[in-house]
Amino acid sequence: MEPSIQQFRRTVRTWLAGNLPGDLIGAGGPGREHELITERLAWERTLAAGGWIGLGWDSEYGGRAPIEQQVVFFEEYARAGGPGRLSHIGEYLLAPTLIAFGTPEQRARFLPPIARAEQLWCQGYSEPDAGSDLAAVRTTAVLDGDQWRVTGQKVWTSMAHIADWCFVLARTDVTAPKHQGLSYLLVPMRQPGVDVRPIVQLTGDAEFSEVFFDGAVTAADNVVGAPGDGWRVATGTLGFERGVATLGQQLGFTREFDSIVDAARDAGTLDDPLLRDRLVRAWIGLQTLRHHALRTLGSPPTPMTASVAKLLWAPWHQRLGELALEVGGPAAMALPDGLTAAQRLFLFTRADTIYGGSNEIQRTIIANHLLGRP
Amino acid sequence: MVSFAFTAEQEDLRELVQGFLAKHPVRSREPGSYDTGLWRRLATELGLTGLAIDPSLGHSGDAGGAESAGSAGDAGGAEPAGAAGASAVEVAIVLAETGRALLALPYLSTVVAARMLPPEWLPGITSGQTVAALHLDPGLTAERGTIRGLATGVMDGDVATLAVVAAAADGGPALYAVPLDGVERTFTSTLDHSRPGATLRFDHAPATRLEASRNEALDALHLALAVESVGVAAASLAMTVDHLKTRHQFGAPLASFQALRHRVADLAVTLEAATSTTWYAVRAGGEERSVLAPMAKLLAADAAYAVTAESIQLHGGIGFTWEHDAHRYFKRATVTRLTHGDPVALRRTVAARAGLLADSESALS
Repeated sequence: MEPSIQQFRRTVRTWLAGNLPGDLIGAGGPGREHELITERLAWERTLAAGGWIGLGWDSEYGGRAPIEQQVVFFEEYARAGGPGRLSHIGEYLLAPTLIAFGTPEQRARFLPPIARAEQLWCQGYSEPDAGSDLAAVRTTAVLDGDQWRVTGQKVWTSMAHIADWCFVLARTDVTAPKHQGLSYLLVPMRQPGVDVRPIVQLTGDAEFSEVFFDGAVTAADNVVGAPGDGWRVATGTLGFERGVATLGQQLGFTREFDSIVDAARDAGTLDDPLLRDRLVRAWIGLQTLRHHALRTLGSPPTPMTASVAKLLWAPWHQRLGELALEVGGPAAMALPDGLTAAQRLFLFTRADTIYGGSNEIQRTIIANHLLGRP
Repeated sequence: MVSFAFTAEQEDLRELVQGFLAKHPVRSREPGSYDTGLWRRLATELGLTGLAIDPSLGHSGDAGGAESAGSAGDAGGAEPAGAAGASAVEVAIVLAETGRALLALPYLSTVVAARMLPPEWLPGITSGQTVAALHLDPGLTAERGTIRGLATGVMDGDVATLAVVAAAADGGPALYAVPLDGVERTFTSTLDHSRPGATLRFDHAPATRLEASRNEALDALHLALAVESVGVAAASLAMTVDHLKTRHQFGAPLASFQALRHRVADLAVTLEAATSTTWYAVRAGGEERSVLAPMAKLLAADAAYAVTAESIQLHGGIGFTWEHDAHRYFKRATVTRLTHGDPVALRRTVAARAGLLADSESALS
């Protein structure tokens, strides 16, 4: 590695060591998004002040890190046990979308507040009748003078209860064919016409919400891309979900794996050769996740890149959740005082293969690429 | 950061070899014989055996273990300690293509052995006159410059002129080069019609002790089998995709049926994962190699097995015929998976070398 990368790593590590509050280590994250919101909001401001938000953006919009440095940042953040991020939807999904599809005015208006952690975003995509079939969304937006009037319902919206803005895939032309009548709108959340209701998960917690739009409005120029071009922009955003961030994910997985091994040792089950074999398989699978991320990071994505990645990590992580219980034996079923970490991992990972594009959808995407459309 | 990119010259090499092997398919051979004309062309016209030799590395081209010329990397980071030499990538490219073509020639054995040999053996490798086989299993002993013992299941040992073997010597197992003229040889066949072998009886056969270690040779063999397996799997998957697109039933191509589409997707994911670990292992080198080589062999051999087995299924009845190539790829994958370290043994090796589940510490120190 070039000396500058080592230097950068040291800089990140030192900064994190000096700024990350101890009580935030390991907080938040999938299955634990409801934790310590106020403290994590403050942490976002600290990250922003340190200039760590927007590293991966194009340099003319404040991005300053080549991909190797982004990789290092994610690795060090995960290694330090940095908490689950609250500004990631704005930073990693909306911002690249505005950079790719937005107007200079939209970039000038929205990127700086994201970089300062002053504006949080949520993603208004799924609906009760439009999950895997996202293009079937029925939330409508009608141009009424100089504003859009938005009516409908979104579901599985994470961060909705704390978000300032939402990017909403809405139908703006009900006469056009399904994929062509959609628009990508930017809608302020804190207005009377927006109602947020939490969804309780099978973990007992609520990390996602339903969002009801009834008389919600947004300015006419708060549309990304042309009206009717929403599907193209929305699928662009979906494409940004993969990539650099996954390396941090793997380090988080490593921490989970290590604690499962520790738990097996404490429970006395680590001596069982069959269990050991299962743990070794899990470890090998984790190495492959890293190798694959590195291999695909350095090359242009193909239509199946993101789907392969999800079909690798999600089932792996789900299996890890099962292992977390297996190492504990029957005692792992007991509920002493709320969910144990192993139980939470086990239960939440049932969602890994559903959200962000279910396994079935990912397989279909890959098959479309390899076999052509049916 | 490890770069997975191929240079234009490397892409040209791949295209050249792929095209050449597609024009000269040889997917099986009888024990004791091989297409010597094609072998000579590969060696002298295309220079493919000489690729294994990297003169810039001093001796025959080490297995990648000594190239820590790059920075040691960050103690906390997981970056490789130094990249493998360019020729390792080129040999891997060729091996993947020989796997794709299911080439029934002793290429893999020869190039892996070549990496262990001192300079005096190399002209024979380059010219194609030397055909090498490997035997790294226990059972042979060395004393006073000769080898004794029985080596069974020696892949391509039926046509080899030279064997690189592991033998017990004072101070532990060591590696030896043993010319095979005069060595008693019994041809053997396996399920894999593209790779006959031999039982070699060494009775005080003169041998030269090599500097390279048994572990280096085994790592190189594992890596080579991994890369070759990726090629085998890729070819099998491509054949399967082609079949699904062209075969029609119920008035539609098989490729339109969702159950089959999803099975293909799963195979593609399995292959992608194995490809990533394998190429990472080829390029990483250094200290990580001792963990990555058996890991790559494990994953790639399993992937090749999964893909080739499903390939028979997805071809339907025709996949079960001798005439169709599906069984040939399946048999190569089967033998590769269960020899030179089966999945259980390889997982044990990986775990031990990575220091996993050590009693006194957590998984990764």
